[in-house]
Amino acid sequence: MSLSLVLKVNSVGDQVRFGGKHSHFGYCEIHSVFNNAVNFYIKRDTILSLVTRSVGGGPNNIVIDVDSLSFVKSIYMDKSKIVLNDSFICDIESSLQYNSDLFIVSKDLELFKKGLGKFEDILRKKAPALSAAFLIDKRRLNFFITPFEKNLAYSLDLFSNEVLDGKLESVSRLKGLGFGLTPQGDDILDGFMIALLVYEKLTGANTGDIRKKIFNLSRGSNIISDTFLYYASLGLLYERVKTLVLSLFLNDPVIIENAVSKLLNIGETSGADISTGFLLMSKKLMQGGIKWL
Amino acid sequence: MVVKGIIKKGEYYDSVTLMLVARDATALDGVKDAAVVMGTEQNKSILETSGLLLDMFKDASDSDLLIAVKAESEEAANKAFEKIEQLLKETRSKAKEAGEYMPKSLEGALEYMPDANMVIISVAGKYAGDEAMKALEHGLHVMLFSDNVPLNKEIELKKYARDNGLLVMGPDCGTAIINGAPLCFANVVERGNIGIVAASGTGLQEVSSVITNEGAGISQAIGTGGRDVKKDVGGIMFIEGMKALEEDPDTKYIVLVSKPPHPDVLKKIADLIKSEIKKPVVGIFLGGDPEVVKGAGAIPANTLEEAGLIAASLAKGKSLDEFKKLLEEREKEILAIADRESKNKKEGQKYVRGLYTGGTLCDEAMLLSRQIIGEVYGNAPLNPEYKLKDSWISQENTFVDLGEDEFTVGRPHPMIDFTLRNKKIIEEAKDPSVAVILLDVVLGYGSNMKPGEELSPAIKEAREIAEKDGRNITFVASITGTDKDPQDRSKVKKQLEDVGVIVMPSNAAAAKLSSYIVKNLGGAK
Amino acid sequence: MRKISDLFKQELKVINIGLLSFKESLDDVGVKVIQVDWRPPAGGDQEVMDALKKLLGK
Repeated sequence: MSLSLVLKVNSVGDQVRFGGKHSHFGYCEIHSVFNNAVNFYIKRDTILSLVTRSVGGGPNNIVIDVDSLSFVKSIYMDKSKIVLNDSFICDIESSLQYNSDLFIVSKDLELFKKGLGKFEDILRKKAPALSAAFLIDKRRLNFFITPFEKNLAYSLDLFSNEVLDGKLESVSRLKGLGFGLTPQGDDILDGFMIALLVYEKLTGANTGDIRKKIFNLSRGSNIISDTFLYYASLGLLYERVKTLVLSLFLNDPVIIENAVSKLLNIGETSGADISTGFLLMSKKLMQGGIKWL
Repeated sequence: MVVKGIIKKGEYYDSVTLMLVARDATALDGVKDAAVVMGTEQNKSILETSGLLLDMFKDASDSDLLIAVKAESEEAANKAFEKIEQLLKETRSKAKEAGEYMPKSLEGALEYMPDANMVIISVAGKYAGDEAMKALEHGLHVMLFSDNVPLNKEIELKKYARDNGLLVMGPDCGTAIINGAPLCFANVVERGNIGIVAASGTGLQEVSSVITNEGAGISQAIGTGGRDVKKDVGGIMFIEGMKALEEDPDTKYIVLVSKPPHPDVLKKIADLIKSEIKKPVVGIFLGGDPEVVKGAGAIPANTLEEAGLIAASLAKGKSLDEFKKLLEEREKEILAIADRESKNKKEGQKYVRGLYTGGTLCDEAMLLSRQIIGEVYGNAPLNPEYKLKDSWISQENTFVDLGEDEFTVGRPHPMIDFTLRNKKIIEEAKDPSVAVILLDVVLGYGSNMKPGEELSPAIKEAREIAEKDGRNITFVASITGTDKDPQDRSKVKKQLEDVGVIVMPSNAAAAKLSSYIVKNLGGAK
Repeated sequence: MRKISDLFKQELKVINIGLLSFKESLDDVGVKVIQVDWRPPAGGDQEVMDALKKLLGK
């Protein structure tokens, strides 16, 4: 190593284990590099993500204190550190742990409903044009132009409503539907599971089995999607989602707005798609209209 | 109808990128539908519904990228693939260079770049003010490119900025140079010890380019927007900009560029020069009385070029007398060229047509020409009586500013899009009374990237039209810019000279030359 | 008290809200710049925007 620089590690997710069963020594295979995230494999079946501060903590995230990660070309890992490009050392051993569990102190359903209302208002206004937010605001269908896009919107609408109506088989039809690394359908399912988790925390009803069912039905070969759906099924949340959920109980529109804005900054439409799924399922649950619970 | 497809492995894109790429392909002639998606079973079923599913896609996996196109012909389909490949490639290289993280708000951006210190705002005027205030509240300096920001909003922003030690450049500020960085429509200039405060964008560009071309350099160039020096705003930022340059140890000389400020503002400027400014100040208030500038304690300049030359001379340690000599020599040279060019004209050829893209440059040209050939016509003339009845039809000596709204509605600014001016050049060449066609070429970021290539054919064609009629038209141009600009001033100069254009070192010199030719030919009022 | 001239001693770091070409030209000369993917608030409707502001207590 000719040049060594120490990069500050802001947090390491609670599902990232060093030295245990999932530990890995040596160079890791990189899955994909984005400006604010680098996804890489551990033992072929697990994905960890190096992310910038702007993305924030997550069960499998390692948050590095840098503006951009697009420079990453190689990742070496041992039990105490990660080395990028054979030059930049990230000290894992002494870093803070991000806790992905969700604790909600309030059990106030009315407060939550009010928060959801505000959340919906903001989402209608701020969600990007091509996101799944058309499911809560039909006027947004005008953004879908080509025949393929129209067919896609139709299918997203159909299958997400079938799932909401309790038709669990449709999970596998929703999964994988849409563009991008994490298709809209996957993000909607993620939102559904987050809503189920919040409902469990609020009412004490067990939604864990359903979440696991949804995950099992949705499994495919997209390891990135599978990873975050897996964590959602376990009730483990990413920082931005957690912030949003908690903000809904604070009865403060400015805080909610800020939290929504941060969530909407994920990917191009992912944040809005997760939000849409979360909102739809939460509303359904609040109406008590879900048969299979 | 044909349906064609490609599979790509190991390439990942964000959803909107893929949607927009497919959409751009669908917009091509002969293309009916296109999809660029990951190869999930579910996406395949939509491809099927859309008549886009090909056999080759059946074994594709979730992590493969599928590209499908339905088109009227093989050829159209291939064009669509080319387009898609090209767009994806651009996305990839952009993502590599600058990253694809794009926050949705100022707050998001700050999270990503907490130590940002400048915000450039170019969104529609009705929103721009609010965004600017938000930036100021976060302690950020603002460059407000947008126009149509309400006057009271401008005053509110500038008062807040003044009270908090921040800059608000604009609204309607097209250019600035901060810490050597060209912002918006600015030229790549040498760094040096001359600071500029300007209430005119093109004026700032001309002065900073002249300074660079003379071998001196710029420390900071602060734009204020034209409304700053009027009565209502009261010169808030002009004054603050001057103070900042006085405090800046890297600035040794200060140049002020503006149309004549409101008398109240002028008084404030004069008071400031007398009380606080210790550095030499050069002032060009286009169309104003140089004595007023002198009275305010500044060295007066008659033209933008002069302002640049004086500052550059000072920076190079030369005296004002040496500068005056230089100016006299240049004047003699202009007269000599004018005499030469007056000789090859046909009877009746005696007028100048100035076709301008820069408003300030057009104003300056009219001011100088008026002194030599009397009043000139235009769409925005100095004397309202000389306003053209129809801005599209020139008469006698005419200077048009093609950047005025009447010409720019629905099309890019003429500094970027040369189509309109090229058309005008050819039209003017058909008029047997035209002796000189005068042009400004503004280089720098934001302007047309190939001015030489795009102007030359029109000039050639115009020449041919005149020559068929036995006439010779003199083309005079000035190039606002430097050799470090992406277009490269020397290269553009060569290209224009190759089609017979006389390229002058400044707009003032070009305007004077044109006017002297007209005067020689008897075209003066 | 902050002063404008302090800016001249710092590295310029820019947030660009609006025309992408302004970001690209700064990229070109090596200035750090981040683009905001800006959309008109509340769908571009002034009334809704005012209402939103009120809602947010601004």
